[in-house]
Amino acid sequence: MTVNERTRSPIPDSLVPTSGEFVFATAQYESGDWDSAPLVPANLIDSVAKYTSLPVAPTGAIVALASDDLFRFPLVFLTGHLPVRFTDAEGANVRRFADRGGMLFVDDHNHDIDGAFHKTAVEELTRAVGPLSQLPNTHPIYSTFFKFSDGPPNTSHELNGWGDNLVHSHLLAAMRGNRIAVLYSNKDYSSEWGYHPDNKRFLAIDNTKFGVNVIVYALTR
Amino acid sequence: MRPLERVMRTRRALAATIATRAVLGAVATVLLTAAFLTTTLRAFGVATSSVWLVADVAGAVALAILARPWARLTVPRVALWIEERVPALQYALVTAVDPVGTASAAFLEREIDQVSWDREAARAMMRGLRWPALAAVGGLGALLLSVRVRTGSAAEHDRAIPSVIATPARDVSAPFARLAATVRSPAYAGGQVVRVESPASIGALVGSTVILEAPGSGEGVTVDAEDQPIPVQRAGAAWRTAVTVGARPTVIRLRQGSVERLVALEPRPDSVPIVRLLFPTRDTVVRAARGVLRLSAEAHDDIGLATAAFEYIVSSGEGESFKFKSGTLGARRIDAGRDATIGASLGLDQLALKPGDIVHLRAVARDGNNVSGPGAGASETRVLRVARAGEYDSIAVEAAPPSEGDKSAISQRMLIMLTEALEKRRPTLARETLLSESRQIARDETRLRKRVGDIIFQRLGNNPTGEEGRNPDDAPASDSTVPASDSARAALLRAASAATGNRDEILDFEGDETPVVAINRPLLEAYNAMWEAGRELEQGETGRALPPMRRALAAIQRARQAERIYLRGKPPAVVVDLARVRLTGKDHGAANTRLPRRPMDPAAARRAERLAAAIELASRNPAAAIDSIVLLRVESLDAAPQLGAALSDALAAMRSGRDATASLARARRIADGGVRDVGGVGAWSGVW
Amino acid sequence: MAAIATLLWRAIRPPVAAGVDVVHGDLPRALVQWTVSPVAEMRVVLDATPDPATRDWLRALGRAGGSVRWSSSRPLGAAAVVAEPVPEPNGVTRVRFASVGGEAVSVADDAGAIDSLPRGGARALELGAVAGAVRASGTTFTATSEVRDSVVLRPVLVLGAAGWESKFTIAALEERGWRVASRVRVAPNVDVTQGPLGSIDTARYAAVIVLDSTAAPSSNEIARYARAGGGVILAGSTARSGAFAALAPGRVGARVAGVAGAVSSADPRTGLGGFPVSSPAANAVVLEARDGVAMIAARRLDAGRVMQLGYDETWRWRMGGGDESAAAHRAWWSRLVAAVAYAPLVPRGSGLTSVDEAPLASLVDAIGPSTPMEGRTSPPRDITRLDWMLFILIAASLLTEWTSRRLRGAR
Repeated sequence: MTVNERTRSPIPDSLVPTSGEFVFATAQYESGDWDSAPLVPANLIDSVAKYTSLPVAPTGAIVALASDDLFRFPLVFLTGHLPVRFTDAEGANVRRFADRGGMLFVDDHNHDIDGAFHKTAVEELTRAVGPLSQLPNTHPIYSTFFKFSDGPPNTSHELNGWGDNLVHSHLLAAMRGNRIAVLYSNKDYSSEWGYHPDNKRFLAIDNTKFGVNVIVYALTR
Repeated sequence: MRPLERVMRTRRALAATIATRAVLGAVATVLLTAAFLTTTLRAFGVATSSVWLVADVAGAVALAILARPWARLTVPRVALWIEERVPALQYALVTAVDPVGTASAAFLEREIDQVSWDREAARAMMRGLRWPALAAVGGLGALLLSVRVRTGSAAEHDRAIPSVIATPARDVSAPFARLAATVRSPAYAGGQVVRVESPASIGALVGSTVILEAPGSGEGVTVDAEDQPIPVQRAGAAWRTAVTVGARPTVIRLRQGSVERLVALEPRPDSVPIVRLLFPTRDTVVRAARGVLRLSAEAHDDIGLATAAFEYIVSSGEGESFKFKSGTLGARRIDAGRDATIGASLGLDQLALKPGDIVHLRAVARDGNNVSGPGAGASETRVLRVARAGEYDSIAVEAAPPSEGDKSAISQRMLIMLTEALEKRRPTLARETLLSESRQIARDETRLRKRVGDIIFQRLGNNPTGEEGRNPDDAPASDSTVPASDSARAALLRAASAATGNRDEILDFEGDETPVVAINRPLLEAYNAMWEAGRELEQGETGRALPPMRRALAAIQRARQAERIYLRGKPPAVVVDLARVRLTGKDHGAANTRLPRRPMDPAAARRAERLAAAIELASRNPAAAIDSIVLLRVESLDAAPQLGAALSDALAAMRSGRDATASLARARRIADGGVRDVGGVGAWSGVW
Repeated sequence: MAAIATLLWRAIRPPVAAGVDVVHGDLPRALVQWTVSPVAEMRVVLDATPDPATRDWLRALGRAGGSVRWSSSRPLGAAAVVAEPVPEPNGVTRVRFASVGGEAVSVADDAGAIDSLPRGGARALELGAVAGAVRASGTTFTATSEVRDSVVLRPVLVLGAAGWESKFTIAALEERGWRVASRVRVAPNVDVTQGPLGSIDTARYAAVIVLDSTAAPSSNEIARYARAGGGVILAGSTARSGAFAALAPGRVGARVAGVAGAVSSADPRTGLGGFPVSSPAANAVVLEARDGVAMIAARRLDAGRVMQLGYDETWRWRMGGGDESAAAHRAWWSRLVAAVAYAPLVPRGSGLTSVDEAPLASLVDAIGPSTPMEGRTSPPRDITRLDWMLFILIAASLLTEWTSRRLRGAR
């Protein structure tokens, strides 16, 4: 086990990746059900390996938003159903994370703009990082690997009327210069991608390709 | 004690008095000289760095003069001094201490012993110290007064009151020599008014109004801020112009002919309130949501609070289905006070909480900023959770993944999307193309139908092979006729038909429907509908295929809801077999280009150059250098606040005539990004 | 009494031999006199290094047929200063100055003081902006330098696989003001590219940064580029492969881990892992080492320069180092590139400058080294500072004595 020389606390092996590997990290926060999409990491890791030659760790990592370990993972995924209320430490960390070059990908697992997750997450993210505004559907993130000419791909939950019964045509983003620092989705990709990667073979169209775009964007922009 | 000894004692006291008097006199001289010179030199704008040197020299001279009597303190002189104040001695003392006259010494001693001169001597010594002491105190007061004298500045007492730094009138060119500023803070901050002559820099809340006025007709006077003109109005015997302090620092330029005057406007932002939730102090899990929860919080604002309240959100549900309700309590209006405490009680019974429900609580306060706000501050959130019944015999309960039926739902939705898209393109497609694409969707529908069939078969008879192992890519049957053999599949189809009401046949187990069949009824409906849809798609009838596809989807949805079972236990950790998966995707990405990031602070180098040029200019034209630094400072307040603060110190020194070398050097180091010490000369040079 | 005796001795010192002129004080007047009425031998006693004009005049007098010799009344400081542009965006200037013999030296430009060395020595500084000339002054010298050239900066080319290191390296350079071209591999035949991509040569790129082995197919082209004058940085274990191994300043050692948690310390790079530079070449210069192990080394290769950078995850410093770490990471990467970049100099303007970068060395070059004077020197024609001090001392003593007598008499 690796030990943090400064604090003398043990560092779990899962948080000490091999040099150069991309590790998919899921954010753990105090106020809600941060672990509501446990299969998303494996599914996206599978897709990254399937389509790219990027070195990637075979399992994801879980990292607390209030922890210094957050800065080991420049791309972090955050989802949930319940209200999001950052503690002071979480809010400060998220701000520093964004300022230093990190990217937070947030998805509303409720798919409900009237729901508590959306309202509270937008409030907390605005306070921590800055206002969220609509990302144009011509943004480079829609062509960093696969091409999505119409912007963010729709999800099944949107199409069958879950949540707010809307199909959201845009994602939201908070920027740092011309770089996305927070990418926010109302489209419930957590449900869309929340299945075992082996089941991908049953799908006519791989619905995780946009996830590959998000990861490639984070690694190259 | 003998007379000589008594005289010696008095002599020592006199020596101490002379020394004290000399010191007090010297101190008074130093202080008075310093006060006089400080006031005089400032009035003429001359540097005051040598004031103390001159004052010390004057004090030394005074000390030397006042200490002169020390040398004259001989015994006979002291005796004479005593005789002058005590006539009763009748010169006996002078005679007694005279070394020559010793014959009548004993007689004189007896006479002298009867007379005491201590009181008179002490009184005389105190009188001698009176004026020097008063002069020293007076000098100290004069010096303190001279240090506090400023020309027309307003001290900053709190954030709501504007602060103004002024320029001495002699430094200002004639048209604007009597410029005055009236600054009024916004109404919500109290509307305080500050008026000052000859303003150079004004710091005020965003939304404050600034009126600049000067005597004269205003003819030929132009005023602009960031190249935007501001109207100038005539007001009696004066002219005036009004500006509102915006969110960004700006410089107001006043011009008349070739004469220019700059006034910097520095906005002071109104901070949001700081709120602290005092009670509850931590998150809680309760078995039963009964009783009353006490809430308490405190809030503080730099200007004034307007409202404060507690907010709560109740989340009910689990898995994928949640409901939320929210509300406020304990709301209170605060009449512009800077600090407030709020309290409330949350009746848990009224919230009707059920096991598994979660209550998020926080306190929120808003200030009275009606210009750029109101600013809202919130406390940390506390969570109160009602435990589920099943939690008590387990430390951790984690949801298992959703059931297998979900895969079908996802795929059926995708097929509907594809079919709808094809239906939309139908008028523009050739028949062959339409048929080809429609049949592709039909094949996918068949594959999916077989999956649903497999699930049903497994549940009905634990037969994992489903429809006799048919390859999903094989062409399906050309029509919907059921297989002749009375296979499990046939039974399945009959059950499916019966479930959807399409046939009149009686199910084998109708009337005695098992729970398994009841649960699988939606899937049976879906199976049948998918069969219908596949048939239409084979014929290219996309429009007619959509209704049964949607029925199938609805049925699958119902099946999901009916069967949602979450088992206890951790979901299996999924480790992706990278070697197996690597680059097996059928689709390929496309090369693309990246846009460059912008430099962090492209203006930094230019700021450093401008500052260096301004410093060089200061030795030739101090007024122009001050103007340059004012402009640079205003631009730096947002982009480089540390530099802005350093330039502020430098400007204060330059305007008051003090030596600004140290503060300018510090500003320069900040503008340069610090001087990087590379260390020694080094063995490697990157310069060509 | 001692002061009076000293003054008398100075007054009655015998002169030197005829035909020899010795100057202690007013050198400009003496130069005029020697030019108008030449003498065979001119001796100068200096108490400070003369300015360039005076020095050139002495040289001219020497070459006109007379003999010019000099000595000094006190040791003259040997010092030098040079101001040169650093090949970085934002116009960074490097000032290097040195003083031998323990004499204090202070450095300033037209805008004020910059730095000082109280006991001499050598130092190099990098500043964002320099106003006018840079002067290094001591008690006996003033050396002056100016930035006379500008650098021509071309884009930097970054090659590597998509990942955090390539992302943050490119970001750091761009945020620092560099123009960056890049080719980053995402999948076979799928690259994310940026900027002018063409053949790798010095007309196109100031430096090439190779982050991993994905650039191996271009290794020969990069090697040619380096030999032709380009700057190359080989990061991580890149120097193991192919043609890169022949360029690198050393071999690639076994990877070492960083000290956990140290990226937020005062020495953040101790928290980074990497591949040490082992067995450095004879002409390699170790630029950074830790625990005795070289992590960065560089060497000249024909006309170019190659740096081997052992760190392969510098992005962890930027992300995990603290609030100033992003700026420090940017500055560090910019300096690394500046240390190898091909950046030809272009002279600024054609006006005469008052540069005098090594006054004592220039003096020796002009009229030879210092030589002790033989024989006695003539009485000073001008009153020196020592004379004034002696006079003041005597006058103050007389005044004090008179005052004392007067005061005693008054009593």
